[in-house]
Amino acid sequence: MVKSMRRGRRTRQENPQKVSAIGPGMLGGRYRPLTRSDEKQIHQTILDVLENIGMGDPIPIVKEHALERGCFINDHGRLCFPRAFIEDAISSAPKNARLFGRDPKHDIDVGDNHVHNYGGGEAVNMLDVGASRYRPSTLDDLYDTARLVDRMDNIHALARLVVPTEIQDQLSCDINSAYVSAAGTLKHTQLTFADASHVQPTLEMLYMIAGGKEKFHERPFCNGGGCPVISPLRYGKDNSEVCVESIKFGAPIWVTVAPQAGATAPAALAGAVVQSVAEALAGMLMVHVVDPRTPVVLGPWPFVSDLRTGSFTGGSGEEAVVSAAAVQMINFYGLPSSVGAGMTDSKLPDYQAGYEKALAIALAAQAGCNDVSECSGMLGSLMALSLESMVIDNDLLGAVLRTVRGIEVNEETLSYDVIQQVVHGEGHYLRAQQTLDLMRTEYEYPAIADRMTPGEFEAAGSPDIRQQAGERVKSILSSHYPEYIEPAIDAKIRERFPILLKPENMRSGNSRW
Amino acid sequence: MTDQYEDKEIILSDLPDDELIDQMHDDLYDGMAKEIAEGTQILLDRGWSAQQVLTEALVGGMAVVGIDFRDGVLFVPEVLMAANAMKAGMAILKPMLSEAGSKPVGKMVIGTVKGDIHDIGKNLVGMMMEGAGFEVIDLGINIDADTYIEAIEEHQANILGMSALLTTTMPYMKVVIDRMVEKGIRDKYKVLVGGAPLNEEFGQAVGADAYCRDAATAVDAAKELLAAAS
Repeated sequence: MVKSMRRGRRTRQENPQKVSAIGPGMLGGRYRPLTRSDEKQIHQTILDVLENIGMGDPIPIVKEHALERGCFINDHGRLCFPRAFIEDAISSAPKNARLFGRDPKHDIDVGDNHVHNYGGGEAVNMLDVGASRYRPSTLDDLYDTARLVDRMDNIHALARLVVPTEIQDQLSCDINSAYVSAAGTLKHTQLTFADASHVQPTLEMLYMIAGGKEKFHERPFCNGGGCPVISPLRYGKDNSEVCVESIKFGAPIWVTVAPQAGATAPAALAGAVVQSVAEALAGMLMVHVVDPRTPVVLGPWPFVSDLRTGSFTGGSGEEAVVSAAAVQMINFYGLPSSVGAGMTDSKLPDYQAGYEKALAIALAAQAGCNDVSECSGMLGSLMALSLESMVIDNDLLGAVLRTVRGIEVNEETLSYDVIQQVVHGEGHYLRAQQTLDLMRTEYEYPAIADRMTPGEFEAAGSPDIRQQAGERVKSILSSHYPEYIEPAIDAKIRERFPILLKPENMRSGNSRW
Repeated sequence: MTDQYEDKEIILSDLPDDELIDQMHDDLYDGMAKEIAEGTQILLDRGWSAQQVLTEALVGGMAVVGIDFRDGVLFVPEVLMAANAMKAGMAILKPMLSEAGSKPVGKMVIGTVKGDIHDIGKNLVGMMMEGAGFEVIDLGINIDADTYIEAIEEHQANILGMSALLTTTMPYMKVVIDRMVEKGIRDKYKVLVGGAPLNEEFGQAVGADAYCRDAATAVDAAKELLAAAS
């Protein structure tokens, strides 16, 4: 049958499923900064730390359950976990879990070195399109980030990218954050709570969005969790309670710890890995003693200090390598993993931002991180978010995922026959059947990265990538106003909850874009 | 070839006053607490007043530390060692200073605000302030407005320092400052605020005298505000 080009074009335009070389959940794990012997030594030290030094300030419910199960309080009044208990917990803990999207195409399976990228970061500032100064972030900004993530193929799930700083009431802040996320994207969303008492009311709202409690729990499209450890090695009350209360989602709990090498973790990078993984395990054990069936995504996020000033540096080579090592340790345990990567110290989407992000994200993804977080749009050591940066990062993440996919080597791809045919034939591969077959599936094409010739570039007015990104942000955000919450349900939600996002800001033609 | 920096045993008590002061500046720079305590005692034994030792030997030495920290020559751990050495000298001078009725460079009450338990940055500021000769009353973490206000009044401090790491707790700084205004005592004190999520605009919005992005800035701001007030 002869196919016309016109039909080919139509098919491609009508088929929304983009053909791509990459996708969510590709297998990483090839990059291993630690040797097998390093892994074992780190593991033994982690057991020593949790068994002998233990954790300070466990909340009562955790302490009670832990003591019942053979854990003990040492002479310093700290909760200690016997090594056999820790090893049992690791081996019996759920190794794989599904994070549901509201559309099944966005489902994410964590565990087994599957790589996914998360938007997240809790920045308190925005860098507006074209701007050079930060301003405080708002609920409208968070809504915009959700809508943009919804359209970014290489950002697979959402977390709170910016904090709505104008909302003083913390309960309102948490509920509104969940609302605008659900209004802006069908991708899985990881929620944050300032207090455990905020979990239930937020769930009530999510039940309404899902069409009922049972419906939500069939496919919980949000999960909860927190940062339950104050480094070094002390449980924080509020976030411990949030983590335990988040078991109610019936979804994996995210637990993130962020000790900072040189300040709240050892300056020796191996020690920073030991402490951060020990703290992440302590977070998991806390959930485990209360409910051993609930999966935990372990987030040992070893941060790094710039010891010249004491401040956090997210963009350093040290940050990239310790994060990859932390992922390697969580994979050593076979548990679901998360690290922060792409937390550049640069204040603008510039060359520094690009190289710092690429390095950290590439190493984390290559190490096989299930949840590469903070990788989209973050600037200024997590202090700000730029939507332009998010669009550029989407290209960056695509390129990184292409490296994760690697190179398939088999008789066909080795291409002996094709080489022979071309050499004896046309002398080039552009019309070879193999090229036609592979041009979309072997290669990943960036959406905005510049691949023009210098002449074309000059003719286009020499636009830099930030300009291109800004145009794309405006084009998406001025038109992508999805109706992900049914109007009738939305009205009921607004009756019952103090939703602060104005309905007119959820339709095109508003003054914002 | 002889190395002019070759380590020699230096007997502090053998040095004349001016060389001893220089040596103490070096020892502060190198964070040598025992040597600073000894040098302080020697100067006192030679009849120096406590105030003179403080100003010339200790504060003078820490000024060099501050400059080199600002310029990126010294790193934070080194500055903390220097501040610790300064503290060793201050431990000897403090009772004599208060007996003589002389005042410290300034007095600061510092704490992390209510709801927040992060204290590394706050501790760093406290140590640096002590290093610069300030007396620091550290209230710790999770401090409510009443506790701050009672402490500044009780200790007759000049400066209140508040820190927060969380965006959810930083608005509490305004609560404290508003309470000070209500009580009519706001103008008696200089208020410094700091913490990772804060910025200049936030500092102004809550009515602080200064936002301090790091510990060194806090010391400079405290000195400038007190100099301007006196």
